[in-house]
Amino acid sequence: MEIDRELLKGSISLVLLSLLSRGEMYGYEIMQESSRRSANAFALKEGTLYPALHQLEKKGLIQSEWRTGDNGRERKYYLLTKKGKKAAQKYEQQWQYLTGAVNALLESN
Amino acid sequence: MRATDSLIDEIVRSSQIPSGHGREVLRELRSHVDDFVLHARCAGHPDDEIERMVLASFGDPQQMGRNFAWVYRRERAVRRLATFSLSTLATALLTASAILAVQAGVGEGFGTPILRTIGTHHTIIELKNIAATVAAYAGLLAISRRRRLSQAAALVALLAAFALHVPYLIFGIANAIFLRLVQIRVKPQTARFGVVAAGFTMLGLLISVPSPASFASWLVMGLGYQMMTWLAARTRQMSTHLQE
Repeated sequence: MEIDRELLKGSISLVLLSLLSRGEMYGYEIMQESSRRSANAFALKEGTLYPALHQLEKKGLIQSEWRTGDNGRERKYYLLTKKGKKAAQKYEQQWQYLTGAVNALLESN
Repeated sequence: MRATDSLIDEIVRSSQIPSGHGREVLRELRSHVDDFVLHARCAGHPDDEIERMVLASFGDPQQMGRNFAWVYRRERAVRRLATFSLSTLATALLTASAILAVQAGVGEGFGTPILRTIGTHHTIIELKNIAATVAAYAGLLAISRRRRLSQAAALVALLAAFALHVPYLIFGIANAIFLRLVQIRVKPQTARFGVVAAGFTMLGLLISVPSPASFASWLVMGLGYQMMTWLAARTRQMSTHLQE
């Protein structure tokens, strides 16, 4: 199912923080993982992913470092900061509360 | 893959983010495309198809550029304000140097020693008037671009002029409006010089003691201010080009 961009926008930070809470990743890997773990529901595009990653980094929730792999290729890895770990927990709680409330509202119709 | 290289270049160019961040984005997106290509080749896709897949996945480069521009909006604002301030300062310095140098030369011609021409209280007043006019004129140019930041830049310019003193601010604004109106209403460059020089000469005749030296001094001032409008437009063009 294709998700409306506006709905996706509100959850992108949570998705990224949640993915990175399981370990450091580079951009392409994040795209693949978000798609795989959400059964293709979150098919993140580059145009959304990279500006969102840079925004999170500016907020101090994630940090990045360039690393060269065995094949000599460079990749920029992202990892959560302490602040990011706290934010991930907070966002998750807020998300659970919000989805619970929306579900209750929808079921009452 | 030249198409993907151009795509990435366009994303970074359209984002107008400061060069350090721009280089980082460029490097990261290139690394991403390398991963994409490697993965697609392993899946058995031919190169021309992979190129189409990359372009489709990235989508509109301008939109992605706008997304990056929003992320780096503060850095862009700081850079634009710094460029605006520096170009205004450079214009003010060049204009003041040109006017004072020619006035000193003209004064010498009328038998007034150079040091007496430029070493007076009158020179300080003139410098403040030039600074106020350049700041107000640069502010007017910025407002005409109709951007919020430009309005902020204009405000900064006016505050800078205000810091000089209220009479200079009033002179600066009135002078800048006059010069801007001439730029908009009078199209031939020589006619502009004529109108501005005539305007200043008349003003000089009205408010100072009529003498050939005073007449020449006001004429030089008018020509100098007209040259300033040209300089301000060029420095603005240059700073816009540098930012892009």
